[in-house]
Amino acid sequence: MPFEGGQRDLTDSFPQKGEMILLRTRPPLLETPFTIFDHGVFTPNDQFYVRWRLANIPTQIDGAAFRLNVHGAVKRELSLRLTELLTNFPRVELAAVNQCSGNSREFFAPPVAGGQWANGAMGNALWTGVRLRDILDRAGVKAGSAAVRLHGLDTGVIPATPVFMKSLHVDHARDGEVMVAYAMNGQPLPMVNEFPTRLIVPGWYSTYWVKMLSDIEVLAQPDDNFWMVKAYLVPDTPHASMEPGQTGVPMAPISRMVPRSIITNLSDDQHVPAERPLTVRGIEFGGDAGVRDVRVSADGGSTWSPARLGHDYGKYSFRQWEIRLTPKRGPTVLQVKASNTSGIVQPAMANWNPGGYIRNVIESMTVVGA
Amino acid sequence: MRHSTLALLTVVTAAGVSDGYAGSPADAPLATALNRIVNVTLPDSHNVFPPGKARTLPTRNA
Repeated sequence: MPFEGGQRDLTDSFPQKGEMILLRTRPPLLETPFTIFDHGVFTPNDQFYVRWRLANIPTQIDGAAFRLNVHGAVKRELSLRLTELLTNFPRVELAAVNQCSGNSREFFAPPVAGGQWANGAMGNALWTGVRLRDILDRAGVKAGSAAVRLHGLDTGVIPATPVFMKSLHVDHARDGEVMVAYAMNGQPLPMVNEFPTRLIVPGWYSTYWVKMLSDIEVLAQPDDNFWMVKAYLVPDTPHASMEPGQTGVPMAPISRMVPRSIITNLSDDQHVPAERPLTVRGIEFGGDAGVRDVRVSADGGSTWSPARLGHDYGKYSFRQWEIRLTPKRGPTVLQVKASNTSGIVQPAMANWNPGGYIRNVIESMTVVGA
Repeated sequence: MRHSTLALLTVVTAAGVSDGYAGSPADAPLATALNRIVNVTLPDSHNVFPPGKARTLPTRNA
């Protein structure tokens, strides 16, 4: 298990991908090097993080033969070709952050098991595709249906591994925002980023963004499959937090994202000119709501100054922020916090749970004025 | 309660949507890219770092 302050290996050996931080080879877990986030709000496809749950992922897909099947509690079963998705449905584009629920797990103290991500298990893309609602309406959802279950082409190594399936309440699935994407940032998805289709669930953690989506099933009853009722659970407490070793904590499925803000143009312990203006810049996102503001402190959190926000690509997108500060001589602790339009503010204390999920503590960084 | 308004949404009603992508010339490059056979090779743990390519980053990079 890596540890905070250690070193991590970079690789460019994965197809259609640039230099990435390697966490795991099978299945591929590749983290975006953090400097990428300072280049702009959209994460390049070749450096978008990669995270699979099951180890067997297809390495060849015939786009012409691929079908997206819709079945279950519908009036008409569908078997849709990619060209039908492209031309027979209204097309939508949406900027949205995709973030692993275990992003930043490496910083949990005490440590927890799982992929030891730093802050790069997230990315923002302009997704192109069709509304899930339009597909469901084409099939005709039967009255009284409860959920829409989705799964893709990845499989487990052993037969006993439960098929990875996630479900959304039928009203959520039909909200007009959830979409089936066939392109990101104007290009087809790279193979390890789920070619040819993936589900986009704006504002929700990536566990719901089903990869290589091939199957849509409308359920008459709520879904009780393993990946909905046993896995990806968090404490049903403020900030999804509990004490290590605590028992009897009510648990709930992971769902909505919460706001985060991070400094991107500086690094910890970086030397900067003392008593001269310094540009501090970063990215933020509001989770499942738009950003209300971003504030920066240079005095340990006693006072906070509003940052200037960059272009707004929509409430689910990264947004850049910037502020000018004048560091004193010696160490200065910089802190940044975001709040969203639902009134959720990043907490001052880091949360803890055994899954290493939903970290969004106020980030801090020390620069040294010299 | 889910929000129903897309803050950044453009809707392009497909033109001439009968079959394939011939009715919308702008779709042709993307349709061609989607309709191809994509075949990749994933590296295994033995060749994920070719000789001379190893490089590291500090873990705490933000």
